[in-house]
Amino acid sequence: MNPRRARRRRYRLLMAVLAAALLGALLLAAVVGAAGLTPAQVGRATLGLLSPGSVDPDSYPSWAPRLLRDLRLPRIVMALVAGIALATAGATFQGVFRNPLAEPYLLGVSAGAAVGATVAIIWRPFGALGIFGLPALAFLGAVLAATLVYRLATFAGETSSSSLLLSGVAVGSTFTAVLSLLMVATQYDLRTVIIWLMGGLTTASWTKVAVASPLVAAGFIIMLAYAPRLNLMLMGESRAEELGVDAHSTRRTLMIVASLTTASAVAFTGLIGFVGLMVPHMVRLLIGPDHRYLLPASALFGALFLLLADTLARTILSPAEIPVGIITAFVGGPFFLYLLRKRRGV
Amino acid sequence: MRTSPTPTHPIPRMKPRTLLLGLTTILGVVALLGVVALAGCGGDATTTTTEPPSPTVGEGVSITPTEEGAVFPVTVTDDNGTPVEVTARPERIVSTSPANTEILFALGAGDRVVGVTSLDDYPPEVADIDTIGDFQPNTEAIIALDPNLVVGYSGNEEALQPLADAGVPVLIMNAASVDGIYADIRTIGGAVGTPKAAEELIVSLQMELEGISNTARETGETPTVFFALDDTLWTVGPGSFVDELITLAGAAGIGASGSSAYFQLTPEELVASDPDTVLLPQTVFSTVEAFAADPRFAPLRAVTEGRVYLIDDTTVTRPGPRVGEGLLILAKALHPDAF
Repeated sequence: MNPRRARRRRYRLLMAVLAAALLGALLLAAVVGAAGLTPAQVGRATLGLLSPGSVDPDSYPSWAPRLLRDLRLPRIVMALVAGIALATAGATFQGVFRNPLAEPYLLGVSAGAAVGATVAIIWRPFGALGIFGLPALAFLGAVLAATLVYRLATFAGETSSSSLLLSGVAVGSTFTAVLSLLMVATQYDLRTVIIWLMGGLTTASWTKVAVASPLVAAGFIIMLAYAPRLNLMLMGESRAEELGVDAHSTRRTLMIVASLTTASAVAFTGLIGFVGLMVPHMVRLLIGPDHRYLLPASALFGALFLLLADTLARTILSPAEIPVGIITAFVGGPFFLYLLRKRRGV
Repeated sequence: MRTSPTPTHPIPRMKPRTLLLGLTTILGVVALLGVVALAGCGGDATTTTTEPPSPTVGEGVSITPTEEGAVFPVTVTDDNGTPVEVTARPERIVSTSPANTEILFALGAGDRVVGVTSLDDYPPEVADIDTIGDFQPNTEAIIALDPNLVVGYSGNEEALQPLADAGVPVLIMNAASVDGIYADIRTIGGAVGTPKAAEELIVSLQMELEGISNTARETGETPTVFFALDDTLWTVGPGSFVDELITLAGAAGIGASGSSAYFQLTPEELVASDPDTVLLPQTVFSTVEAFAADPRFAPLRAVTEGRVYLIDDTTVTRPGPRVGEGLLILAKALHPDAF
């Protein structure tokens, strides 16, 4: 059997497995939680929501349908959207930089978004913009960081991927320093900032889902459209240019799109690290580097991973919650070390 | 120079004068309650039953709630300035801060509290109440308790929004001053249907605070004090609740000239201001030696003269109905001879 067909079969198998696992995770996430509803109550309350009168309304607590509709469901959807955003942005960044360590968190894009969000939280006049203030400033911060990284890494029209990564780390550190300075200089709402930085889906709502999902969907579609060009660029930029790809503009577009996708998730969920790093890698190990397959599989895997992480975050210490960023980092940190060792050819 | 207890005494021992003051305060409150109760009987014709107040002598005074004056539906304004309508007497109340829980219990609504935070530690009954999270309340857990009043704290707004959206009255109450405590007691009293108990509690607190404050001021001394919030020199500044208590206790906090309500002193500033007394939080320090043995602070007068004390910081820093207790703790440490 030729290797391409084998890969395609593996891709289909992976997608089927991921879809099944995601379905299971959705059911699990819907029935567990601090309110202590039984799966049967959740089922009946859901039926009651979908077609009132079909089930006996006394068979579940009167508040159950509202809890499912206004709390658990938007939170589940937000986890899916954020997981898709971080994983696809990570896959794109890794392709653009041709470096397996590239991801929004390490490239300073997350730090830029964090500075923007912190300004939105502590700078009171900004509150007038309501829930759009935070994502708007987070996006500005992310794009500013991405642009700085790109500009700093470009010498005489040449942009090497190692200098991109280095300037990403440098810009990230600078933004983190600005962030620390902001936090030290103001005591106002410091706790809000810290909780936001640790990352969490606690305050997910349908409004936030409605703002984030179109942005993430648009980003995903653009990334998919650029996937063939990104594949060619993996062979080297001069080679891609020979084949008619405008490497510079492709890279710039994808950086902006991946930054936007990152920011639209991060603005509502805070900093959640390592999803963008480890998900694309695991998928690449399974089905290879072709972005046409890598991106959809990463999206599905990212959604599954973050949903499971968040379900864990809100149940293991219930009624207290652990910021989901701690759980993703707990899994992601060791994985990162494993990647580093593997790359050294151990 | 006055003689002082050795630094190993966590809290200066109770002096005869303290006992006297305590008794005077209690007697005063009892007398006042009698007057209030009488006035209530005479003035309000619609009230048929008036439970006599039954003060218990102890740490303070507990007031038997009378539900006179309770009006429903009632609209109260919370500390965020939001008008909140409570349509009927709330029977299931969730509190998301220890100070608000204490107010609810002090108003006699404790048996209606069905949810508190894991940080709640007073009164002891809270141990048997369901917890709904720590300083971040868990919205699901609150909804599962099916409350008809939520008394929240500043910073909880987003987590409590789904409840407000569902028509549950949500009050955000976060007193940051003595007057703020009185205002919160009045607002919560209105919302839970115990407005009279609220007024009585406020009057008794006012008298308790005034008594302690007067005794402290009569000493004619205004010692300077460093009030430590932790072991990294964070302290209270102007506009903070504890700084107000320090002033009421007849002392001057060295952070009072600072730039904000809570800030971090540098070791140099502390040594330069050389306060008469140093107060350490017992939740952070287990002994005063941990502070006194620090070579940077060895030359401080408070250290060499033995006026470094561990204090019950949980009570002192909590803006609730035990503010009198907190003030007394400060006054005893700052004027050990007078209390």
